[in-house]
Formats: sequence, C-alpha cells, structure tokens
Amino acid sequence: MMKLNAFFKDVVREIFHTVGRFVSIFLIVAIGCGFFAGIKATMPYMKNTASDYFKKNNLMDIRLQSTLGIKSSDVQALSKLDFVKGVMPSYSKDVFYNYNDENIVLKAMSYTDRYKGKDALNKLVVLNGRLPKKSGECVVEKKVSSPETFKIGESIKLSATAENTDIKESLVNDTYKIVGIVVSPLYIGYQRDNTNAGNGKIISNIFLLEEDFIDDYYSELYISVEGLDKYEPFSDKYKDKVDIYSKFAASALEESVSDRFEDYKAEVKEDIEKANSDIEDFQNIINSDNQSLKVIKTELNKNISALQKQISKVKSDAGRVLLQAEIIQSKDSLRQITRLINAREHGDHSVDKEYKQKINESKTHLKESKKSLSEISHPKIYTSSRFDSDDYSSFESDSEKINLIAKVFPVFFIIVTALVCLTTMTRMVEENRMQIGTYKALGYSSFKIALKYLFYAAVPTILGSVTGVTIGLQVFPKIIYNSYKVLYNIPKLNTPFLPWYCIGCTAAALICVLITVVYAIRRELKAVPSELMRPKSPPAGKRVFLENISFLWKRFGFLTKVTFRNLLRYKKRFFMTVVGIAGCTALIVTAFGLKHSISTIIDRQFNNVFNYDAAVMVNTNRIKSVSQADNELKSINGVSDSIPLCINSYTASVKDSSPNGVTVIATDAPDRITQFISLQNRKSGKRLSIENDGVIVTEKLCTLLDLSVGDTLSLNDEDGNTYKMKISGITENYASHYVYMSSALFEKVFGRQAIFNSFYIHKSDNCSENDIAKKIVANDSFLGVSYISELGESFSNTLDSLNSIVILLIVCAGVLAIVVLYNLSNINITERKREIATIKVLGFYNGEVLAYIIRENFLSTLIGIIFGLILGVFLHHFVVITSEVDIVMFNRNLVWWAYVFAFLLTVIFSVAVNFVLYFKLKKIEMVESLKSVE
Amino acid sequence: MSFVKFEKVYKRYHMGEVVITASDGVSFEIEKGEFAVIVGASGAGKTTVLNMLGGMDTCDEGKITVDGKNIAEFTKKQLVTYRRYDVGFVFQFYNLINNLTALENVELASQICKEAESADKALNDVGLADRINNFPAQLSGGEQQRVSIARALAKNPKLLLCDEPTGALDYNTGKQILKLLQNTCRERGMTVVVITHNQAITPMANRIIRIKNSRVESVIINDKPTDVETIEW
Repeated sequence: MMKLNAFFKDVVREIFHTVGRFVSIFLIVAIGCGFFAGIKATMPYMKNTASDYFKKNNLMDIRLQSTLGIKSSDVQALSKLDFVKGVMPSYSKDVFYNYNDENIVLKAMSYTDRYKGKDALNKLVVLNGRLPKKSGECVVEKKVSSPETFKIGESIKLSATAENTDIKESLVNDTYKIVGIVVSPLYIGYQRDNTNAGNGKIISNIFLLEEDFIDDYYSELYISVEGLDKYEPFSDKYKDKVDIYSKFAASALEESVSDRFEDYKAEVKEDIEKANSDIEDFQNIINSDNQSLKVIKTELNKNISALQKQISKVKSDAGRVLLQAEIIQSKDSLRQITRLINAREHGDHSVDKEYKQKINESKTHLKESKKSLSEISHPKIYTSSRFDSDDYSSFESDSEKINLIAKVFPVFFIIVTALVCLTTMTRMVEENRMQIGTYKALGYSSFKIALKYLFYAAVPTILGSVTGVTIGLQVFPKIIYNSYKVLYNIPKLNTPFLPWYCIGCTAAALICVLITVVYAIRRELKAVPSELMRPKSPPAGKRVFLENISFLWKRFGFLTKVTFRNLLRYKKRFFMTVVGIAGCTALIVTAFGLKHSISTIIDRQFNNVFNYDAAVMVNTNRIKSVSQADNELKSINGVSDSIPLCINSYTASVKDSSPNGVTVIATDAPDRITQFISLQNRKSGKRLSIENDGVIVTEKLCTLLDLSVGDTLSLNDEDGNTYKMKISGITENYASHYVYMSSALFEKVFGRQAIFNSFYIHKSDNCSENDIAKKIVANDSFLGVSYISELGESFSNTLDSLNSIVILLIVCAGVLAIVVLYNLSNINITERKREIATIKVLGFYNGEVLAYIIRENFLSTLIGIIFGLILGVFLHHFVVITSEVDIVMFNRNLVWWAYVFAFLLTVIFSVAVNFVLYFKLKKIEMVESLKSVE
Repeated sequence: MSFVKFEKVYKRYHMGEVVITASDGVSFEIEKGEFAVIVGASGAGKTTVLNMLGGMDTCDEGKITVDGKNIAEFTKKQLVTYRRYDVGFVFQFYNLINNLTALENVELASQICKEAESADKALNDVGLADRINNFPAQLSGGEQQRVSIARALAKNPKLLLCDEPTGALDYNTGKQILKLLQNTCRERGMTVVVITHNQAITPMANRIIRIKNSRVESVIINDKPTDVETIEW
C-alpha cells in the first residue's frame, strides 16, 4: 500500500511538472470528443426539440377538410372514435390586406380558448403581447417576410378576396388591432398554405377570435391521435400510423358528412317540390273566377273554425303550436283571396299581377334549386398530416444532413488523437528512460511501470473527454442550429447533457490513448535497467534513398538535404503531419465540394433541365376541352407558350427504403415537350425523344432501382396496382423522380385515358410573374400557378444553411491542422533545442533558424496537402453519395476551386502555426548549447 | 589597442528576489594572435565571460571591445552578425548535428559566411580528410571535436572560442585537440580563447586569465608557452 502511495505521488508530481504535455493530451482529446459528440448530438437535439415543442403545444396529427365544410355534428362524430385523443374545429378564411398598394393574401384563422386540455390543439406560442380577448383583436405571426405593419398596436384593414364582396359577410369586423406576435406549431418554416386568391400565395397567417367569423361551417377539423406522441414525430413509424389513422378518420368524417349531405339533398328536393306546388296553387287562383274563389273562401272559413275547435281540445304545447300555425296560414290565404276578390270586383287587376309575379319568383327559385341539386356532387374529404408541410420534412432532412457529417469526423479524430498521444507519450517515455531504469532496478514489475504511464495518460484523457463532451454538446449544436433558425420557427434548442455520449466518447478515447501508451513504452519495458540508465544514443544520421540519385542530390541546397534527412529520421512525426494535414485538406475539399455539388443542382434543375417558367393546374371539371383551355391560357398577356400535360403521381418501391414518389408526365406532343423540359442523358450528352415504345426515366430513379435502358420499370398506384413500362432513355435530373411518356403509351400502360390536368408555360420576359399569376388564377378554368423560380428560391433557402456546415467543416479542419502541426512542432523544437541553440551560436539569424526548422514542416505539409487533395476526392464522393436523399441527385463533379481553396486554407493554417513557432524559436536560449546531453 | 578588451564588465542574473552577480567588474585584455586561457573553478564565472565574449549574452554594465567595436552596445541582430562572421565556437560536447555528415556539419557554418574556406579544406586541415562522409555517430569523440573545430575554423573567424574543448575527451585525445588549437593559433595567427577549469593546461597559453568569485583574479602573460606534448596532467 505504501509503495502504491509513493507511486501515486510520483504520477501526480509528474503531471504537475509536465503541465504542457498533460494539457496537450487533454486538449486533443477534448477537441476530438467535443466535436464528435456535439455534431453527433445535433440531429437528436433538433428532433427532440421539435418533438417537445409539438407535444407541448399539442400539434395536431391529422387535418380534415370536406367540400361541405365541418359541422358540430361531424366534430362529435369524430370525437367518438376510439383512437381520437383531441378534436378541434376551426374557421379560416383567405383575405386581402392592402400593403404597399398591393393586395396580399393573408389567411385568417380562428383562435379560441374554448377547447381545453387535449382538445386545445395547435396552441399558439405568444412571443410578444397577448392573445386576442375580444372581437376586433388579432395576433400575427412572427415571420421574416411578414409586412412591416405587423406590429403590436397597429390596426390592419382586411377585405374580401372575391370582387364586389363585403368582408363583413364573412367576418364581424373589417379592421383588427394587433395585440400580439405569435408562432404556430402548425407552420414551423416559411411555407404557408396555397390559396386560389390573389397570386396564389399566402404571405402570412393572422389569428382572430372564433366569434369574429361569420360562417355556418368550420373550415377544418384538427385531430390528435391517442398514443402517437410516443413515436418520434419524424419517424417512419409515426408516419405509417398517421397514414392509417388518416384513412379511418377520413371515412368517419365522410360518413358523418354524407348524412348531412343526404339531408341537404332532401332539403333541396323539398324546396323544389314546394316551389312546384306554389306555382300550381298560384296558377289555380289566377285561373279561377270570383265565383269559384268564393267557394274556396267559404271552405277556408269552415276549415279555420274547425281548427279552432280542435285547438281547445289539444293538450300538448307542440300540437297547439302546429295547429296555430296552420290557422295563421289559412287566415293569410283567406285574406289574400278576399283581397283578390275585392280588387277584381272593383275592376282592379293589380293583385292578379302580384300573383303573376309570385309565380315568376317561385319559378326562379325552382330553377336555382334544380341547378344546385344537379351541381352538388358527393362530398369529398381531404386529409393532410404534418408531412404535407415541406418545412416539416425539410427540418428532418436538414438535421439528418448534419448527422452525415458526424459520420466522417470520428475517423479523423481518432487517428489524430492517437497520433498526437503517441508522439507525446513516446517523448515522455524517452525523457523518463532513466527513471524507468531506476524503477526496474528497484524491482518494480514492467506492468507497474507501465501503469504509471497508463495512469498518466488516462487522467487527461478522461478529463478531456468529459470536458470536451460537456462543452461540445452545448456549443456545436447551438451554432449549427442558429444557422437554421432563419428557416425555422422552432424556439430555443434543448441541449440536455447526454451521459451516454460522454461515456461512449470517454471509453473510445481511453482505449485509443491507452493502446498508444502501450505502444510507446513497449521497448523500454523490455530493456534491462543498465541499458536504460545510459543516455539513449541519439538516432544516428542515415543516408536517405535520395542520396543514391546523386545527380539530384548534388543539386539540392545544403538545407534541403538536411530537411530530407530529418523528415525521414522522424518518420512518426512526418507520418502524423501528413495524416493531419491530409485530413485537414480533405475536409476542406469536401466542404467546398459539397457546397458546390448541392448548390449547382438548383441552377441545373431549374435552368437547364426545367426550361418552363410555371406549371398551371387545370380545373378539369370546368374546362370544355383541352384546346380551348390552351387557347385561353395563350390569350393571357405574358404567356408566350404552353403545353398541356397529363401529370399523375405513382410510387416506386425502393429496396431498403420507403417507396419513392414518381411523377408521370404524359404528353401528346412529344416533339414540343423538349421546349419545356430538357431530355438529355447526362453521361453521353445524347438528346432523348419520347417514343411510343418506351418511357424516359430520370437518372436517380434508375440508380435507386438499379435499372438501365431496356429494363422494365414498375410503378404502383394508391390502390396497390402495379404498372410496368419499358425504359427507353435515362435523362439528367437532380430533384424528384419523373417518368416522361407519350399519352398513347400512357393509355396502354395505365389502361385509362390521359387527362390533361396541367399546362407548362413559358412567360414573356417583360411580364411580371405576379400579373400573369393573377390573371390565370382569376380564370375559372385554372386552379393555380406555381413558378419554377419560387421552387428554386425555396431550395436555395435550405442551401444557405449549408454555408454554416461548410464553415463548421473548415473550422474543424483548421483546428485539426493547427493542433497537429503545433503539437508536432512543439515536440520537434523541445527535442532539438540543443541543435537550434547551436545553430544560433553559429550565427544563424532568427529567420534562418526558422527556415531551418520550418522546411521540414513545409515539406511534410506539402506532402500532406497532396495526399489530402487526393483523399478529398474520395471523401467528397463518399459524403455526396451518403448525404443524398432518395429523391435528390447531387452534382457529383468536384469543382476545381474546392482544391484551390483547400490548398490555400491549409497553407494559411500552417503559416499561422509556423508564425507562433517563430516566437518559440526566438525564445530558445543559446546557453542550451553549452549544456551536456541529457 | 588590444584585440579583445573587457572593461569593468558586470553581469547580474535575477533569480526571483535574489540577484546573482556573475561578472563583477571583469576587466582583461587579449592581444591579436594570442592563445589565451580563461581558467577558474566551476561557478567562478568563466562561462558568463564566454557568453558575453561570444555574443551569446549581453552585459549589464561595462565595455567589451572586440577588434575595435564595442559589442556591449550591439543590438541583437548585430550580435548575430558578430557571431556569424567574427566568432568561431568550439563546444565541450561538440554539438554536431547528428543528421549531417562531417562535411555537411562544416558546411552548415561555411555556407552562411562570406569569406568561408571550403568545408573539404577545413576538414583536411584538422586531419579528417578520409572521414568527411561519416555521420557524427560513426566518429569517435576526438574526431567529433575535430569536426567541431573545423566547423568553427571554416568560417575564418577573427576569434576562436573554445568552451572546455577537452572536457568530454580522454587524456590523449584531449591533448591532440589542444595541439590542434595551438597549431591553429600559431600557424594561422588566430586569436584563440580557451575556457577551462583545468589548471594544468595553462603553460601552453600566451596569456592566462584566472577568474575567481566572478572577478578576474590575475592575468599572467607567458612569453614562452610550452608545447602541449610536454604538458602532463
């Protein structure tokens, strides 16, 4: 026990005496573990934060809408379902708000505190101010693109989106005072719902009290599903469950709405019958002469007195009311007929005219009723889930992107940590030779001696790992998340400490460090004490292979020769520098390459592949013929060309992945479609044309399914039917999957007629997108327009966040380079103090001393960079392949400037380290040269 | 005017609160072409004198004149230049660069000087013509010290400073090295300053400067220096 204590003291003192070494192990472990844990934890942190946010604010799972609106009876019907946890109906209305002389579309949504507990879904988070309390108050969303007038205290005046309609028909007030700024968990990003008003885009949502809506029907019904909050809200499991429950909920709602629909239909039919009988009655009266009218009059009188007698006998209130009503009606008829008789007797025909008018009115009513009966189609139910919001999906994919980077890191950091520890510990063991010999001479076992060094290395490793992970978990996720904050409305990131990350990292670091210690000490443990007591003879100078090539060697300057010899003499260090620098360069190549690979696909997809400017959705129920719609479209000022297309969605099952959506586009003008979409093989550059014998498929889909030209592609529809088609060409494409075919082949493959439900259009350059969109939306034949430019824009927003990842990669690369170079140079300098002091005494200027040492660094850095550039090609390829989601194909080419930047940045990092080195060298005392060899 | 002149040179080291005076008003002179020995016990202050004379350290007070220039007033950069062109240094532990051959070790010095003699010749002069391509590890201690001397001489310095040149060598080898230094002084008219604790070698010098307790105890001028061979210790 005593021995152990003395031994322990020795270790502790050793640590205190060699703080620099201790710190360098501590730092490299801390940095490695911190980076890894921080980046690795970002995805779970982001997802958990979102998940908690959704749970806390009771975000709905399913949204239901019906063409007949939602009534309280529907709400009740849904709430009775077993799986339904919370139900909340709400009103919404698209309105105009005149901002900067332009009508922008806002979506007014209802807010109420009527629903409590599990029924209070989609709770608004108040950032500023308060929620509306009385009619005429509203809250607005916090959103980057919201109008500037959206501030607390401002009043906003709304108007109806339909022409000649008063907003007060649907809302109680037209002016609302903003009392608060909120975010809604329903909208976590930029994207808002679509509308068929204005230019088709909702700028922002506002929330009014429920009482401010004048509407017989709710617009939507939100439900939450029992037990779903135990699933991670982005997981496939959750998605699958939601899909199943959506179907149940939809059919329940359909049933409930259908009942209402039948009632409504019956009502209309009744209306028609009544109108018919009215017309008949009035016609009869006009046609009768006064004589027969008087007969009717007498009958009516009799009838009334009979009814009055009857009323006294009836006990129930309801019965009495009914009879009363009948009496009133009969009295009314009696009065009318008396008026008619009297008028006719005075030769006055005005009352006759009144009757004729009444007939006309009833006839119009009849016509209207008949029309609405013919028009009302069976109610349709629409369901949507959280996944229908692009923002929701992109939040997930963004967080996963970061996870992919975490895949690349550990390898580098493990290698670097091991190398740094190896050199540091080797140096320590060398310095301690004498001591090891003494211990041995004293009779300590090899194991016990090794224990000292293992213990010495373990302490900073554990401390470093715990410190690194603790700090890393706080710092890196927040930095990354902040760069996404622009895109998402989800509040502050939760970063709870993750013990398993800490344990895992520490264990990995310990194993890695301890192995290196054993490796470093192995030779000393084998040696006999007397050997260790003698100073180790410095490694003898050796000729390097280059010297054999004497014509080359002779040409080298003297310093170059020294450099080569030194490099090959300290192989471990040379190797470590090369690995560290290569890692740094490769990371930077990857960072820039990745940015290029991803950012260029927008340009390629939306400028090169998609040549059209916008897609127009056709209201297929309204249009008489495709050619007529085409003409209507072409007549709109600003639309320079258009092509009708039959666009349908199918899925393709992909191995080891969820089914991928595939858009099938059929055309009857194969020769014209290439003016809208470029069909070209990326590899061969060959232009493709749509023939009747096969389909053209986009590249990524073929890669995913491992198909090539001549193979058969199988697509499934919602009902599980499978359709097979032969691939005749593979076309360049970067986002989503498309299959292009002729409409003739479409009919053959899918066994149904190709319905042209969309147009792709070209717009003339001088017209604004907004104007054209307004004109198209105003036309009943079309449902909406979506511009390519907007698609591209929303893509580039996501890509902006890539910049931060690029920066992160570069920072990591820089730290890597700096730690490695600094550590090595430091060891290099301390080991060669005598040599450096000597050349100083010989009269080398400071710059020359630096050059003497730096040349080695420079050369090994250069070799490292060359390896790094090569390694970067593979790393980039690997990252691009792994980070691609199924529906996207990145540009696999590595751009030349990624190399240039990687080279320059690595050089800058290396220069920075060498700059510090210069001062260290300056500090070395020449007196060192007079000291004896250790 | 003497070639080397120390006038009331003081050097103090501050060790925390304690001030150690390593040179306490040191004054002496050495003439051009002389073989001078600075002798004293360990800790007497020899090395401080050597450091200041060799331009490796500065003094706090006083004047150090070498070849008419007061190096005590030199800037750091001037001191480097001084070391580079004017001083040749021979170390106790040779201080050869292990990774360089004998020839290259000499080149290390000669290549930075303007009027350097060729490395080949310098090694030839010290009798190592056949070992020029050997690495230090392949040479004996005496041979290494010869390389060290060749390295110092190749610069064609005005002053050859030797710090305990025989300290790490056996008796006979030490003698050979001293002989080489004496010959260099005699044949080339080089001013040689040897710092040693070994009293026995003083008879071979023209001038013996004894240092004790950081002061110059005595300066003895020896008109008839003996040959190294005849000295025994």
